[in-house]
Amino acid sequence: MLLNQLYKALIVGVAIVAVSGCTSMGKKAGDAANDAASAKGMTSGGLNGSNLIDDQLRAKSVFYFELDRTDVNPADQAALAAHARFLAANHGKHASLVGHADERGTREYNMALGEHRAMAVAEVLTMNGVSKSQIEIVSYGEEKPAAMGHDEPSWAQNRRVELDCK
Amino acid sequence: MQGRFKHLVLLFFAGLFSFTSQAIFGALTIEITKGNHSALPIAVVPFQWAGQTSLPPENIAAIVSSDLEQSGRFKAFPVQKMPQFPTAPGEINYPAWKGIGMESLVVGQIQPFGSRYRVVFQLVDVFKSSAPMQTQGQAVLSSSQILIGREYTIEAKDFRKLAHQISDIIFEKLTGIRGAFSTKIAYVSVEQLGLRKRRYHLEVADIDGHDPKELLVSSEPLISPAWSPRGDMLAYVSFENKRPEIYIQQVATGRRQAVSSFPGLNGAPTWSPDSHSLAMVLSKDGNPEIYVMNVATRQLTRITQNAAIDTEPQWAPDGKSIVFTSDRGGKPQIYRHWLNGDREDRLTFTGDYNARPRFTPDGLRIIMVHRNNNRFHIAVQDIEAGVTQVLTETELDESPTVAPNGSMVIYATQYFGKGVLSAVSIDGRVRLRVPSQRGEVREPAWSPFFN
Repeated sequence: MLLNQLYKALIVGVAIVAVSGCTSMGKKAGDAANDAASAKGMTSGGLNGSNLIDDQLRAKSVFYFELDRTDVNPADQAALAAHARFLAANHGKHASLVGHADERGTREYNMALGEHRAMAVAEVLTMNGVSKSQIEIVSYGEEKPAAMGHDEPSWAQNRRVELDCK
Repeated sequence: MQGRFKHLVLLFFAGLFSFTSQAIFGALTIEITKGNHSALPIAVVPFQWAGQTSLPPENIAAIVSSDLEQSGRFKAFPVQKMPQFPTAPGEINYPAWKGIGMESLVVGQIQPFGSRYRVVFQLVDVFKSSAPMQTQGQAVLSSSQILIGREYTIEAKDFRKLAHQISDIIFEKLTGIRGAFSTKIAYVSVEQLGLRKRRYHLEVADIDGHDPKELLVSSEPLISPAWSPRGDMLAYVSFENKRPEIYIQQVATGRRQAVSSFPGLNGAPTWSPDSHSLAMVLSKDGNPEIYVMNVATRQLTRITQNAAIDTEPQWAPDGKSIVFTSDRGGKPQIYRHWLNGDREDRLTFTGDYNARPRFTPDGLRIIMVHRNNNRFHIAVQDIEAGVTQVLTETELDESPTVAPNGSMVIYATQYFGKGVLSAVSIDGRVRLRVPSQRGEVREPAWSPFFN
C-alpha cells in the first residue's frame, strides 16, 4: 500500500520536475540548477515522500483572496508551508511577494490592501521558519491586473499575491 | 452686410469643429438629468471678424458658449436659431430677443491690429431696460443694460485663453461665483502597447481638454497626482523603480525630485494649504499610516497610530484638520484628525465603504467614493449635518476632484469597459461624460485658480 503511494508520488514527481522552483511560470535561467538540485533530491530522497509532495505543492505560487479580505485562505497553508521549507533550506533564495487588489474602490486603499495581503502571506512563511531577511514585499494595488475584464471572475483573479523565488 | 453675414456663417460652422480638434478628450457629450430648469438662458452671438482671412485664430463666441453651457448653470442659445447677429449693443433688436425669452446677450468684434488682434465684447441684459429713450426716432441704449464691456489686444496664441477669461467674467457677473474656465486638469492617460505592456502619461490640459502638455511618461504606473496650492507643482506616485515612490515636479520646468522612498508604501500625497507640507501614507513602520512631511526639511510627523489601514489624507482648507480613509471600524470610512489636540472623529456612517475624501473649497462638505449595493458612486456629505447625497449613476467611480469654485466634480469611471472622465455638478443635476480619443484616462486632479 505504502509502495503504491510512493510509486504514484514518483510518477507525479517526474512529471513536475520540469516546473520545480517557487513559481509555476515556466522555465527561467537557473531552472537547470534547480532541476539538478531536485533531481538530486529525488534520487537521494527518492523514498522520502515529503520532498516530492513539496515540489508539487510549490507549483502553486499565486494565492487568492476574498473581496475586502486580507486573510490567507486556509487551503493555501500547505503550499505556503512547502515554500517556507524550501526557503528555510536555501538561505540564498529570496521570496518576492507582490500584492494586488481588484479595480473596485479607491486606488490608494487598494495599494494598502495589496500590501496587507502580501504581509499576510509573509507571516505564514515566517511562522514556518523563513527569516524576514529572505522576504521582499511590494504592492501594486489595482495597477497590474492579471485579468482585464470588469466582472466578478476577472476581479477574483486580481485579488492575489504572487510569490516568486529568486 | 452680405460680407459680414458670410463671415458669421463661417464662424458658426468653424465653431462646430474648433473644440474637437487637438483635444485629448473627444467630443463632449452633455447629459443633463432631472432637467436643469434653473439654467440661465444666454445667447453668445458669433463675434464680428474684420480680418482678411476667412476665420480668426479661434471662434471665441463658440468657446464661451461651450464653457457656459457645460458649467450646467447656463443654457446657451443655438446659433442657427438666433433672430439676428448683432456685433455691438447698438445693433441689438431687443423685442426680438425678449420675445424668445433671452435674458442675456454677448456680442463682440475681433479685428487684426498689426501682428496682433483687438477683441471687444459686451455682456448685455436684455430685460433691464424700460423703454429706451428716444432721440430723433433713434433708440438710445441705456447704459445700465451693458453689464460688462471689455477691450483687449492679444496675440493669436492667446485666443483660447482670452475666451476662457471672458467666460470667467460673464459667469461671475451673472452667478456671483468665480468662474473656473481658466483652470487646468491633470490626469493620467494609459496606452495599451501589448498584452502586458502599457505606457503611462501624466498630462495637464485646459479644463475643456484642449492643449494637453505631457509632464512625464513611464512604462510603470503613475497615480495620485496632486496640485500644490499655487498650481506651480504636482506631487504624484510613480512606480518607475518597481515600487511606489512620491515625487514632486515643477509644472513649468519639468524639474522633479523624489521626496519619499521609504520601504513599503509611499502614497496619496496632498499639499497643506500653506504649501510647506505634504500629507502622505507610509507603511515603513509596519502598517499604512498617515504622516505629514515638511517638504523643505523632509522631517516627518506621524498622524495616525493603529493596526488598521489609514490612507488617502487630505488637508481641510483652513489647515486645521486632515481627513482620511481608515478601516479601523472594519470597512473603509472617513475620519478627521484635528492637528491641534490630536483628536480623531469618524465622519461617515452611511454605507459600508466611504473613502478618498476631498473637501469642497468652503470646507463645509466632503466629496467621496461611496459604495452602495456593490456599486461605487461619488457622493457629497455635509459635514455638520451628516447628510450624504449620491451624485452619480455611473458604477465604478473613483478619484473625485472638486473645482476650485466648488461648483463641479470631475471623477474617473468606466464607460463600456474603457476608463473615462466624467463630471457632475455639486448639486448632482448636470452630468457630463468626457470620452477620450487616445487610450484610457484616469486619476483627474483639478488645478487651483492661477492668480
